[in-house]
Amino acid sequence: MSTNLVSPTSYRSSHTPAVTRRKWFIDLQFRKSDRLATAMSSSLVSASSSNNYDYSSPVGYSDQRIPDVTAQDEDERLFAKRSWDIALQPIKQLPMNLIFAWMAGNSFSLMSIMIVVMLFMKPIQAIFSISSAFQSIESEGMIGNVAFHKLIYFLGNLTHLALALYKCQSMGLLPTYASDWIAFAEPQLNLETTLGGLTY
Amino acid sequence: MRNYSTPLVSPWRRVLESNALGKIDRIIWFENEALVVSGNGRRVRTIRYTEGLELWELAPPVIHEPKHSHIIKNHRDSGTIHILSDDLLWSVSSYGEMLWSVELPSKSTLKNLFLLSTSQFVVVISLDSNINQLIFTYHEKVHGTKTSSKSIRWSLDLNETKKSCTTANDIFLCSIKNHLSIYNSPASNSIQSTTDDIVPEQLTFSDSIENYKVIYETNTNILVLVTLINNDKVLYKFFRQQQATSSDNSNWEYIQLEIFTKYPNSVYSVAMEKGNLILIQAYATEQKLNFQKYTVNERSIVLSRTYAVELPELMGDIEYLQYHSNNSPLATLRMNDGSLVVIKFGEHGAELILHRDESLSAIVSAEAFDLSLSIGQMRIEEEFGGTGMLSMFIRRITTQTSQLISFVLKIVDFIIHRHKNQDFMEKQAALVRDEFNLNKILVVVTSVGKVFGILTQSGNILWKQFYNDFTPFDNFNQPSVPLFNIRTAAHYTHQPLASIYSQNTQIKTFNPYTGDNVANLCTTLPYQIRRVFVSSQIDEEFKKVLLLIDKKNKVHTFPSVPLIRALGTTTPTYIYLFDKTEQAFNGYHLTVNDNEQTSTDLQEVWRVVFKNEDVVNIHTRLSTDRVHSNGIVLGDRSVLYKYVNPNLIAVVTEGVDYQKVPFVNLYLVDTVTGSIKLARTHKKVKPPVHVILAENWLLYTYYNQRYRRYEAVSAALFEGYTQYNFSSFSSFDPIVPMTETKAYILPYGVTAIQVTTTEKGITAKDIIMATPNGMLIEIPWMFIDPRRPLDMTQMDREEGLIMYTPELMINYEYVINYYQFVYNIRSIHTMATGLESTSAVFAYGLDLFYTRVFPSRLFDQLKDDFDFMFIGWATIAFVVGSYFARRFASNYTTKKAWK
Repeated sequence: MSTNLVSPTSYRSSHTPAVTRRKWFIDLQFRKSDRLATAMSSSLVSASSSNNYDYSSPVGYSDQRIPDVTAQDEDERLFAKRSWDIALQPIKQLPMNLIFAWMAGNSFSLMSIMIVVMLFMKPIQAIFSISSAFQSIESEGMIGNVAFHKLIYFLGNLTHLALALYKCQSMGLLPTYASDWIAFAEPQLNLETTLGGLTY
Repeated sequence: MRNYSTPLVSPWRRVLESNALGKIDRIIWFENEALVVSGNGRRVRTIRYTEGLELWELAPPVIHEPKHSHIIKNHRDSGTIHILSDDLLWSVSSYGEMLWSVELPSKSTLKNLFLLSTSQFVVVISLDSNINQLIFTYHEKVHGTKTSSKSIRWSLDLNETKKSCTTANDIFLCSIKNHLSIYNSPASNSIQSTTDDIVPEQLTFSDSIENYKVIYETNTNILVLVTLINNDKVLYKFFRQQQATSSDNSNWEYIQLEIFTKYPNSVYSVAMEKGNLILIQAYATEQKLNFQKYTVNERSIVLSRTYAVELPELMGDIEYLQYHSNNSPLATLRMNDGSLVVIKFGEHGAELILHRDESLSAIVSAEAFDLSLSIGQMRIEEEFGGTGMLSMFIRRITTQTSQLISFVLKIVDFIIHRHKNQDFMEKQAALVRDEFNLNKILVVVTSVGKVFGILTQSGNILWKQFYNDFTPFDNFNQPSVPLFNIRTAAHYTHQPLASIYSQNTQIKTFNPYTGDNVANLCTTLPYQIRRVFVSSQIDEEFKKVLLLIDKKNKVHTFPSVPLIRALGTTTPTYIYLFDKTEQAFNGYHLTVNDNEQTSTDLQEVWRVVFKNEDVVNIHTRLSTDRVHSNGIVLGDRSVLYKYVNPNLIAVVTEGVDYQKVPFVNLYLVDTVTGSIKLARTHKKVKPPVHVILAENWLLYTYYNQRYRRYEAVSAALFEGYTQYNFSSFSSFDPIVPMTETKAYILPYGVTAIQVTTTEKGITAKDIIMATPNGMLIEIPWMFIDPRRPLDMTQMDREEGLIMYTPELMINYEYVINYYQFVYNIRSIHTMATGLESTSAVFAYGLDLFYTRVFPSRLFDQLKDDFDFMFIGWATIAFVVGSYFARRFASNYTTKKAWK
């Protein structure tokens, strides 16, 4: 991040592996990270200028290392925001799914079956891809403890599953009655045998 | 090639009533039609020979149940028939006119027994057992008015008189010890005569008379054959001169003709042939029929020719012989085994031209046997035997090598012989179990003791075996023979076995595939038995054991094994026996005593006695009855548990109450405890009551006399919404079953009823009902469900119940025999097949009918019109198409990458 501060050029050779085949190119667009960095640097510069202004140095140069305390705070805040966003995403979706489930009705039709399948598939997929959901934060280089968020995310998906189960229950798909198990009941064992009939 | 020069007579059949009304008393043969008197003189009809058309039918004015009848043909006036039916005397002319009828005086001691016809009178011979007199009452022939009567002293009682006396033309014959008395009927001027007139002429023999028979009877000739106890046979020829005046004064003269045979079981028939009186004597020796043809001359009898015919199988003695000589001389015989045999006599000897097993209309028990495994299937069974690893390996290698060799040999054989032995191969293939075990062998036992093996797929008789000395049991006035499946075809190393038991304490065991007797398992028991059962366990040779209870209530086993081996030790065994004389059920507990190996005592534990009502039948559950589900799922998804008590029997009783109203009672008796679980009374109801007891329900049909219709009642027993014990059932459990009952009106009468059986009992159960009009109807259980509601609720609709309507609507789709009507069906046998959806039905009575039914449709099989070719080609096309599509797709992406 400090390298960005000293070279605030808008053009530079990219060192991303995807563009290694090219000999050169001009990136006229700020990358997402660069944009973030310049926004941060402008506030940084204004903060530093009020405190340590040294005319002997060229513009933008400081031979002192600036402690990066505020940036760290800001990162953490953003990190928390992002991770909470992801963690609470399933819970936010719950009302929509409730409406879906209610709209589908309890009768058996193609739509209602598809919705029930979707209700089950989505949270299960989400639970299995729990780490990839938080991958984006890690890829942005933000490192922090997301275990709690993951738990929240997991619980949120569980509410979805609970909704799906409730839907199944109200549609009568759950084997919760004795009648659902009657086909598996063993035939009764007879404790006596009888033989007989008319005497000849 | 059909010979069109002779008129074609299409075969026809007329089925008379199945009850007493259809029982033929006498047939009188006329030129073009036969006059049939049936039901002890209650029905008279003529049937034309050519097409079986019934020309007319007459019934006497008074309807009652006669006990005795005598029918004679008036020899002076050959178109007139006189019928004596208890107290009614009536005359019928051959063109269907009732000439007159006379009600005879009725007295409890006076029994009208015989009829005679003279030129002017019809004489009724009756016995007054009170004053020991035989009374001859003369009725005028034209109007039937009584003119006079005479009586003679008589020493014989009613039964003896019935047995030893008969009439021929206008003479009355009676045998007493070694005398044959001949009462020459008094003449027309007998009105003035006194009783002294009737003085018998007596023929005296050297030995007592065993029987005698009038074998020929015309206006001028009578032949009487007398058989003595010592088997001597004497033929008497009675004759009188035919005079132009046709006066009755001419008395009969008789001569004794030569005694000519000593064969014990010979039968005789006499016919006119080219102006000569021909007497045919026939007797059977082993598998051969012998005929002797005699010419009866004026005063002598001359042997003219002998014939012998080889029979295709053992048929026993001849029961009945009729000789015809209209165009070509023919003899029709009924044999001991019920066979109908027609013999044609020609210049070069006699030949058998027709043989029919008529005994198949008298089947008393039937059992289906699975066909044996094919050799290939057996080898597979063999392949996976052995214990050690090496021995198993060697066994597999050797069997697989032999399979390969036999396959190669089969192919070589097919190439060399092609179609030469195709018939043989097809016949062999018919005896091998098919993929779904649909085809079986039906072993049927007939009342005459002939046992048949019938292939179900074709109805062909595979084998027959005639047991000469065989008498069936009487099971509530129905003949019955216990037939047991001793060893099934599953144990392929041993031959399958079936056993039958007859009243003369004989056990016959045979192979149900070949009919061959198994000599070491046939025996005559040294004791009388009360009941025979088959054991539940199998012995070392995989066969079941017969359990026999003798008169002293000791239990024997055949073949002799310890009782523990035959019954197992886990469940206690109870035995119930019904004694007809005491009208009582006795329940016994079978205590297996280790010390006494083969016979043990029965301990009485309960007793149910019926008073003022007679038990008319006992019905048990089918041994093949399977209950798959313990309960019924209701509309609210709760479970109503069935009361499935395997120890229940249905007892049908009938009686008359104190108001003289007939009633029928039905009880469900638990045979372990003797408790009655269900009792139903129906007043003004007539048997026969047909009962089905299956699973937890009961269905019975009866005739309602009040409304004059057939009704069916179904009842189901339920334990309730909870189960007392989910894992086991004991009759001692304190369960009071709930009962649901509904009654239905049947559109037809019922002659037999049965429920379908399937292997696992998953499939719905249908009722197969045989009706008097020849239909076999398959009624879905849903229609007779006792839970059909009177007013439908949402819950009932959810469950799929139909609203109750008393009338059972029988759709013509339910008739499983379409227009192949089968009559007088006595019983229906259902059997499970390898397919759960399919149940086989075999109905027997006068006709036999076999089919397969699908109570829940063919849910486990593809439809017949399933297009295998289309599916196969479509699959191949998809596989090939997907392969090419993949190639194209990869080419396309490669090309795209190069752009």
